[in-house]
Amino acid sequence: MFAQETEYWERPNGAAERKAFIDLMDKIDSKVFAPIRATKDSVTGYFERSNTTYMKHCERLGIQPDYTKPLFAAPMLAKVAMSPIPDTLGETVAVTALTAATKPVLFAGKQAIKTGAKLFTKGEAAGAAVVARGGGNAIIKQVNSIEIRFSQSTVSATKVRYDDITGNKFIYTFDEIVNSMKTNGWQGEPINVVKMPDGSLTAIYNTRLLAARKAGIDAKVKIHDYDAAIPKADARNYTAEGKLEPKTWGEAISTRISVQHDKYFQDRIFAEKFPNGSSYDPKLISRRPK
Amino acid sequence: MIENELLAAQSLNVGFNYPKEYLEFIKKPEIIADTSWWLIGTTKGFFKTCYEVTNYEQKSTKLLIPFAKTDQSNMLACFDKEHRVYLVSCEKNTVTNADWDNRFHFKNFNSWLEEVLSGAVC
Repeated sequence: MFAQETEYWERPNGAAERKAFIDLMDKIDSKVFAPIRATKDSVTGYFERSNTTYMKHCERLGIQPDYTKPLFAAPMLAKVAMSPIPDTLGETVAVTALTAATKPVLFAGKQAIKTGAKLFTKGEAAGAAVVARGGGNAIIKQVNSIEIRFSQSTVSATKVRYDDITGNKFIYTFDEIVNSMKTNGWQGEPINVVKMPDGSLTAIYNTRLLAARKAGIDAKVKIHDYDAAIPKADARNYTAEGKLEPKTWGEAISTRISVQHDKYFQDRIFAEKFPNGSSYDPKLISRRPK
Repeated sequence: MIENELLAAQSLNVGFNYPKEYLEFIKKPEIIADTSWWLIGTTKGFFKTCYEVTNYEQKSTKLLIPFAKTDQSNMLACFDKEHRVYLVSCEKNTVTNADWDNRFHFKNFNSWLEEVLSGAVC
């Protein structure tokens, strides 16, 4: 057998055929097998980084990591689920394989994995990931919900939406929002948060932020500078009883904080003790306090 | 000190007069303090903003006089000339093409107030 092969390649044009064969194998390797190897590296690398991020995530929440659950990577996937997706052929190849490989833990679709891999490559997984730019100078980000402060001392346990055309009433509870976030991650628009003079972030609407904390996921936020002008359409939503209509995002959040007169953490008056917002969870109430 | 604008619509010369029930109510507005609703006339300039939103920006074909707002769903309560009370969203325009004959409304101020106090309208 070996002699026959030697004789074959030593024919007059054997060397040329051999080179052509090797070139063909190289082309096949670069076109077919190299992407597969890259995919393998991406998959293994992704989950190694996911594990690290998950452990940091648990550490932040003060909970014990649980690797027995197939959904243990969910917090990271939820965080990257709404990121923009630059499309390239190479990524598409990798993503297809990634999607198949991670289907059991993937609730946000292939885009999440694709962008997640990109974000993790940049080393941004553990911190806030820039997702997009909003109106004006606002930036939309995924931020650890524990790192954002509240502007209200209370949050309604029951939410009511009233259809102004039909008069139909829709009621949903805070627990339902938390359960939805645990299952589906952050859904819908980002919440408006303001970068306060002390550099930290404070949310204007607090319900979904508190729900994100309870669900153990990051919040999708639109970050506004304190001195940035607030659009009219937003200003009227944030106008509070007895207060002037806000002209800036800073005025809007300060107004909201200033009307929080009830007692809060350790019997403190919210507006007096937390002028830039509070990191302590608001109280869940069934009705607005007097 | 915030200038009180609870009766701001009377200076508009649009042929609108506030209903008696409302005029009585604003003497003791704290009745709704335990709800998510508040009178927009307690905030300087806010009546003008809401009036312009409903009648100009959202191009209502019916004159609407906003008088209260809820922080729960960002809804305005508005009178029409017959003192019916309509709910109008601040967040989305449901007014421009409104079918007023069939649109939900409270027959008067007291009907609205009763529902607000019962917690049915948030």
